[in-house]
Amino acid sequence: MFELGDLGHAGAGVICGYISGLIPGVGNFVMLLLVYPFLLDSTLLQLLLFYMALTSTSQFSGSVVATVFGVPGEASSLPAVKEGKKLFTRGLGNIAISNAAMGSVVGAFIALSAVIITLPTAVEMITKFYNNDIQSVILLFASLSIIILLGHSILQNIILFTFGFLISCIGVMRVPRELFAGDYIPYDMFPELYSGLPLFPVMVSLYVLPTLLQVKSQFSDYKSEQRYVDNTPVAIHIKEYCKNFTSSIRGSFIGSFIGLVPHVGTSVSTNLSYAYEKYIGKRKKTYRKDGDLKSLVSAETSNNATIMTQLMPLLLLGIPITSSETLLLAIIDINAYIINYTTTIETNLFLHLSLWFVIVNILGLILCWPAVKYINVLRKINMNYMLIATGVLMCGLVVYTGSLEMDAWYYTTVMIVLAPIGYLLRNAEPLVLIVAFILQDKIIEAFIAFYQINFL
Amino acid sequence: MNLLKKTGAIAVAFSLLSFSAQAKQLDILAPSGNTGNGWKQAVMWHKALVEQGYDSKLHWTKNCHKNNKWIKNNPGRQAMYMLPANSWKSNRAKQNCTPQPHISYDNLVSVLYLRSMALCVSKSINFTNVNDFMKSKKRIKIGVSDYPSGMFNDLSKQFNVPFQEVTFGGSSKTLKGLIAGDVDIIFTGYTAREINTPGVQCFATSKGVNGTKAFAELFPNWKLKNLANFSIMVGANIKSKENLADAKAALHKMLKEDSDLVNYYSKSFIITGADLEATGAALGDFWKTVDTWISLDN
Repeated sequence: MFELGDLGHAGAGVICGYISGLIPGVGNFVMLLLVYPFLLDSTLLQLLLFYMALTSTSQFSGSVVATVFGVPGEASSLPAVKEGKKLFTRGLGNIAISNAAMGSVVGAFIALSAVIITLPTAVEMITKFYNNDIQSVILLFASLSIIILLGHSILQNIILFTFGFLISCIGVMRVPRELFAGDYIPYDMFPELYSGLPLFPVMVSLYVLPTLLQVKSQFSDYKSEQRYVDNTPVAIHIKEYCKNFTSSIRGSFIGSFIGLVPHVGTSVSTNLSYAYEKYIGKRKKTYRKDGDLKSLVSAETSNNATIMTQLMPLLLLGIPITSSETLLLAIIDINAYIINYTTTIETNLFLHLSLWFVIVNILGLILCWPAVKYINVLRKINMNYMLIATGVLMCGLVVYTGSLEMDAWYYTTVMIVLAPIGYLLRNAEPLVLIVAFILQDKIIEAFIAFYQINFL
Repeated sequence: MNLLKKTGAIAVAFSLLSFSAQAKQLDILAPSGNTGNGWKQAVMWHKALVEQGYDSKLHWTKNCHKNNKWIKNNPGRQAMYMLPANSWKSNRAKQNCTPQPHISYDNLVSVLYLRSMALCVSKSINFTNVNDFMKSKKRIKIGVSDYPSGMFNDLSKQFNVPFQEVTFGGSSKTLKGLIAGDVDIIFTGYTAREINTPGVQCFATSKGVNGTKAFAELFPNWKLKNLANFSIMVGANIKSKENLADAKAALHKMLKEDSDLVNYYSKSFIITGADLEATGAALGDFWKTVDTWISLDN
């Protein structure tokens, strides 16, 4: 039932998630990219396990950094920055962190229960109605949602999406060359281009580089003289959480529902739960301006509930609805696995995954809560150096991954050629480009079939 | 002195033993995607070679260019790879790439297999015969993957109904398209998957295997009535005739004896290796099949 390799992947996911949450700006996407070369032999279950452990655990540790340092690792950490930091200043940082952690576990379990209850109906619906037309509509909806919801400008996003889409057409022979000036692509000089641009160097130049440049600016507020201390007995932590249990339940339901909306994920669910709880608090006159624990618990509970439900479109249909899921899907493709309900539900893989989900969340709670005291170590590290080290490590991994594919120079060349474009993207939302790059083949396939079925 | 002699003798004996026990080396190259039947077979061949005691590695070379590059960059490693006739055609047409070195009897390990193509429909339509089926439609939506357009013009003429090809990215997606109701019928390779998928009925195949009608019987004027998936196994960096013969023997042995491979091919009614050679199939037949595929584009 529990194999050593699976345990290893779950454990590695927990550790990577812990680190990814602790280092502001790194996030799950970058962490997944960092470990990508080590996942090339992993099975479908192991990939999903690693990913689930990574995303779940990063929510635990992410809120810790946001609470103690006031730096949002990701958009989903904003409520923790707003309320957690105030509570920390009031000397209640330990209670804020423990309540957020306990809420996260409760949220995860409620979402899992909701998924298990609705699963048979969902699978039946998909088996009967999931044809190419519906798939095309979902892909269109997913593409439009990232263009509309992410970044600063829809026009900018359209340009980025188009660019990402077109560069992923290189080497795709069923796309007419005229469509993307393919006659100017030097296929004869560089026959490697027939294989298309490799994912990893594209990610590093067009996502990691601009993201690291963006994150660099966040560290202007990265100062905290106050040390994290926790001498409060566990029973008090639990008692405090019980007082906020209803907020936690509300957060769970909001998070579970929002998880199904493409490309909004934890950032929207957390902020929506936070806003709703704050509204209730203000109406009941219980909201505390100097740090409101109920709002924080609701927001942090919502995080982990979303993690479970947002995995479902990927598990059932093979359609990713977050950026890190898009990358996970690319790795699944590379590892020669197909993901949809026939490989996840009908093979009982989902059952294994659910059991691991429970274990991973409990592990996350057990590991992250006591390990919070080590947060003070981060104070001694210059975060700019950390970002530079991440960048250098990524470049090294591009060469390493390229050498595994017998194409080290090609991978390196692609990375270098695209790096200036990545630099220009430092004020834009690079995710839009990357999602288009990864989804291109699915979009083309679905829409060509859609056209042939309905219009010819 | 005695001790020294004994030690020396033992050392010589060990070195001789290790020399004689040194495994023969033969890698498998997979110049294809890694989700389909090509990859699946490559994995099984590799496993079978290891079980036969070969020092064997499986290399995913993805496409024709990278496969050629691997062969050029690894002159010291013997390998073999599968080449289906339609892949030869599409590699040249789409990637301007042909296998290097060129295929000849100097590097042909063996003819590998002949697999029927199939026409399948959904069981839910209660298919009885092809004429009624064609008459019941104003337009036939036929699911295919990566084949030239115009393949069904002869069928369109025979039944006086237009055929609309719907292109899916791979045979598994084509099958799913049929189940989901995207298309009325599919033209695909006849494998265990097509045979065993619930709700799918394959009524005709190239060779009329497994109780199906032969294409030639149902569609006598169809240009593709005899077309089947013909694949050969090509050797790479195998420099001596003895080693080529060894590779062929290893391949034929696994095709006959390896339970996974026997299971895989027999379930799909695929004729393989020595059995295929016994029918007289040779490299010339491979080129004839390639020519048929090329003629579809003209």
